[in-house]
Amino acid sequence: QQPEQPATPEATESDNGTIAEVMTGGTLGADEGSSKFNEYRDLDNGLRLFGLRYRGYTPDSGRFIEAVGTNLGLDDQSFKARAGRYGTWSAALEIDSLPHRLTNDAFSPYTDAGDGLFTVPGVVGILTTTADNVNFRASDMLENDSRIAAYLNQNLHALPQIGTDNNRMSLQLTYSPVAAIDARLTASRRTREGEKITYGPLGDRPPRTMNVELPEPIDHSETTLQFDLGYANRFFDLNLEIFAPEFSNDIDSMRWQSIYFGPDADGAADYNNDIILAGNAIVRRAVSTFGQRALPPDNRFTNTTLTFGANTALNGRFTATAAMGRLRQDETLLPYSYSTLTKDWNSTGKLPRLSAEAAIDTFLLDLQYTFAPLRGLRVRPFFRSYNLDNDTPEDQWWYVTQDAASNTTGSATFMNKRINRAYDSDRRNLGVEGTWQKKSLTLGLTIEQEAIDRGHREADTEETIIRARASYRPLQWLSLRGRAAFGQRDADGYDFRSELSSYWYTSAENGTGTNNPAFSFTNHPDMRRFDVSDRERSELDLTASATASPTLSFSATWSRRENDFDSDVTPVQPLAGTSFGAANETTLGIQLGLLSQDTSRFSFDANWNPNDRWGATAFVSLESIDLDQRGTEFSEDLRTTAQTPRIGTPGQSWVDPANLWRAGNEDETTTFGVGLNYSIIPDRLTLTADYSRSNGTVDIGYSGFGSDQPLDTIYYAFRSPETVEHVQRIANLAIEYRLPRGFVLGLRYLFDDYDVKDWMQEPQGEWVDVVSNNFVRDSTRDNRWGNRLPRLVGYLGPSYSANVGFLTLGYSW
Amino acid sequence: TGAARAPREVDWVALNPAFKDATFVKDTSTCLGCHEDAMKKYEHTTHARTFKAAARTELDKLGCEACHGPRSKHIEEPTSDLSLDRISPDGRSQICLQCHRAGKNQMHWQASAHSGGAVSCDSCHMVMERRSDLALLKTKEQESLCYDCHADVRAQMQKSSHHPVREGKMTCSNCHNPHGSTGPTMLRRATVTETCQSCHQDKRGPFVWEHPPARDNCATCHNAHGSNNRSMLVNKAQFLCLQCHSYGGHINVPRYNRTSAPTQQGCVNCHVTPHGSNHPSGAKLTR
Repeated sequence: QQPEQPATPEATESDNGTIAEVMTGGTLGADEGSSKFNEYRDLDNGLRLFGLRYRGYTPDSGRFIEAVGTNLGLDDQSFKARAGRYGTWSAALEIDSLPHRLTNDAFSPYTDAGDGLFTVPGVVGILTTTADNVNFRASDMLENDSRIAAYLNQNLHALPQIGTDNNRMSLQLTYSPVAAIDARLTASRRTREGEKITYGPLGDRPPRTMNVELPEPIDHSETTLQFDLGYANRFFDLNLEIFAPEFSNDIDSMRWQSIYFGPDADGAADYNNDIILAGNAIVRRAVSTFGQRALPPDNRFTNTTLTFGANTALNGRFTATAAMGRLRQDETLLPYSYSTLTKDWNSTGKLPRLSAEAAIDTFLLDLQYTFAPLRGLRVRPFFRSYNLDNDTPEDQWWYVTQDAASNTTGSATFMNKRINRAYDSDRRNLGVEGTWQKKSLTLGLTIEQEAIDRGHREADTEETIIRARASYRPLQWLSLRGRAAFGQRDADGYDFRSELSSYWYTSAENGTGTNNPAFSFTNHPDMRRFDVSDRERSELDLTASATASPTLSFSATWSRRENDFDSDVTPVQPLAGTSFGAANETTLGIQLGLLSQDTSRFSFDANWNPNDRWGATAFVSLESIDLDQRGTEFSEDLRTTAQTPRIGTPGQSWVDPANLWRAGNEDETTTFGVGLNYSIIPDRLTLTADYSRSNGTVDIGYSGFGSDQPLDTIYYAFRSPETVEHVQRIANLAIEYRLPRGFVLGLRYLFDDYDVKDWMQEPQGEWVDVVSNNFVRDSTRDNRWGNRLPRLVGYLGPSYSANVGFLTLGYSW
Repeated sequence: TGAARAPREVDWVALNPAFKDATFVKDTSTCLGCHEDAMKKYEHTTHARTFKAAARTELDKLGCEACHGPRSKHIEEPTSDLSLDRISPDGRSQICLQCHRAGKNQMHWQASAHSGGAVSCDSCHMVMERRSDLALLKTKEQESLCYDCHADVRAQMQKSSHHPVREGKMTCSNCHNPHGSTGPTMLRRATVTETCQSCHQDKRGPFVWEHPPARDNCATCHNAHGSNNRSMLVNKAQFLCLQCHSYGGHINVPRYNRTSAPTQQGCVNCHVTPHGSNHPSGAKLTR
């Protein structure tokens, strides 16, 4: 919690400023290592200018000038200055800085050499014969782990703070030459510099990927121009908005050096000597000495919106909005791979086109008409259409893993012939809303029909939504509100084959291959992607607000959101009519994916203000989010093979009920807080205090496939993990004393405590071995390289506890 | 400035029949005789200063009566019969809409969820007193005003993974337009994704390899109000991906073949570009 700015003297026509000496308690210094404490702020020992405010106004002319600054000179500063003449014109300058600290604890062998290049001081020099087709705990692989650990221990160095600094400056001019016209021009520029955390997969596709966690450079700038023009006369209103943000990335790509290999011993650039025997199958894989990937591309968005509004008979109001958007991105493309791999994959000559040529056009039409045909009755028919038209050319590409091909020849396999599909959609909403009001009772009913057509997705959907609401004030001091909604979304002929068009290989190329997504299926046929599946949803909100007395008020709200994605999945024969071995296989017809989502929230607020000297508030909130999902394990390598009886080891067949698993996610958060303000000596000495606590937990209950198997075998068994827990406690205490001549002396105290426990960040889980500092591997110790990860840090923002003291001095003149 | 205006006066009698036969006095000093305390605070507001410095329309020149209606009857008999409290929430908003009609902040008001939910302008704004730096809000900080009704959002903002709202670096109105809009849930732009990409422009693309849910709706994977999961995700890392992906092999279970699932960012450890890829080998969003 950002400490509230110390109260300044009456913030009306005076000019004032507050400076403060920050006195930190003993524990702040000890916990400065946690980036979480200063995640979005810049609070440290020393003198700081908390706030500065100036307001000037000339009553006769209406001219004014205002300036407000906060934390000036710090990483989280903000400054706003405005001048003009009331009702006529104004010019405003705004400067805002926002830090986003991700971690202070990262270690890496990588050095940022600039321009997206990350280098290491040397390489591990691992054994290249690490495959053992029989013994998965191959001694050579363990030897490699030892070598990597030793390498990291020798070369890890602390990275400076990982995170970004965001700085934004904007200038806004407003002008109203006559009452009927109002124009506004805003120009802003935001820069974002620093690093975030990313990964550098090297070598073949997972699981043979040799991965490392490393920083990703960020050097972004965003320039936005916005123009608004409003016009009104007695009959209609018009508003034009032109919104044109442009994003620029000064670093187009990043390259990272492999820590595992050096150049060829013979100095040749063919990398053929840099080969590992990857995976449990003895297949030789070539690996490059560098990896490379594209960073967020420069892009531009232009959106023009015209809104027309007119008041009509029957106390009516009609508005029509049309908006056209253009998204463009034409960054020069990288070659498929950084390395040659004998097939010139590092040449852009292999690409179907040299730049992205990505283009999306959007069009919005929104029509609203509100009128009152009868006294107390308001009716609102509405129509909305949002069309997203993707004009990006679709081409035939290769999915060449960055640094190696899938076999020794350097050729990517036929399955890696992929087409970029230009996803688009067309959404339409049509409905009518009625609101009837009689004295203290208001009733509302809305019926809405939504239809979404999608290109290159599994289904178009249609949904009928009914919303009802009521508010009633039976007594002057009591107000009741309720809202309910029900929606039935139908996915029109969910097509699990929709992704097959993203492949461009022929059946002949496949031959007898059993991993054949283009002519079988990609996702399991029983999977229903919940964003385009059938859905039944219900929502209910109930609120009661009471003003028990002029000094005491309460409000309580309970809400529930239920989404049931049951899609009446039935068994299918996805390969019927083919000559595959699995032609007659039938799926279980048991829905996979997200099955349901159930959210309930309860909030209670109380305010007590017995007199001018006392005030107290309290709130409590309980939130529960339950997710239920199901999956099944099967082998894509055996997709077209006869599935029954069960193929070989468990986890192979896509029709085996023993392969099903289920996970229930219980996400619960309890938050409460209290606040107090007390005027000890009226207009002289004040006390304010508050305390809040937020306790969030995530429990995942996992059952089914692999839940009863040993965790250190290639079964890759899984268990219900330990509860994730975040606890944040914040207390503020402030005493302020108004001295003569406009001075305000303050003493403040902040207690900020954060405790985190997360099995994804802790390396000591049952699935993860800590080999050495910042080097973890899967507890199977399998010889596939994807099971290893040199990482930057465990907990990004670990637990902390801080005590901070402030001595503040305010002055107004 | 802030809204083009061509005032169209409300029908005061329709709003409150007690206004029948009342006429405009057009003399603010008469009001000042009894309401001096209120006027002292009012003098610091944008309204007061605009009326004083740039009264351009007949309505502007009415002074107090522009918003409070014809007061002749009130002067004759100073009761609360003509109080604005006697007017319905929608009626009270109509008074403000006399001037605040055009401009994107007001054009969609009548069709907005707030308007339909019996929220009126004065539910959030205190036009008689300057309590906030901007927009004459009832409270100094915008969030506390919104949380009065949206208390559940206040709790969500306290979660570990959150936007910097509680730190004072963002406000609700950075994303939402409380006066109504053409976007869902009164978002400032036409869609959830367009709204998010107003700031997260590096995610905007368009990309050679799109991830349809990311193009469609950021809220499919993220909860912008806060989460107990990293990056404001709605589910724990790999479990989120497994809600939609069941390709075979490692894409079927929360742990398989690599450290990606049980540690760090799950599937994103290898599929590093979940918002879309501009790499020619980006078909699986691994580049």
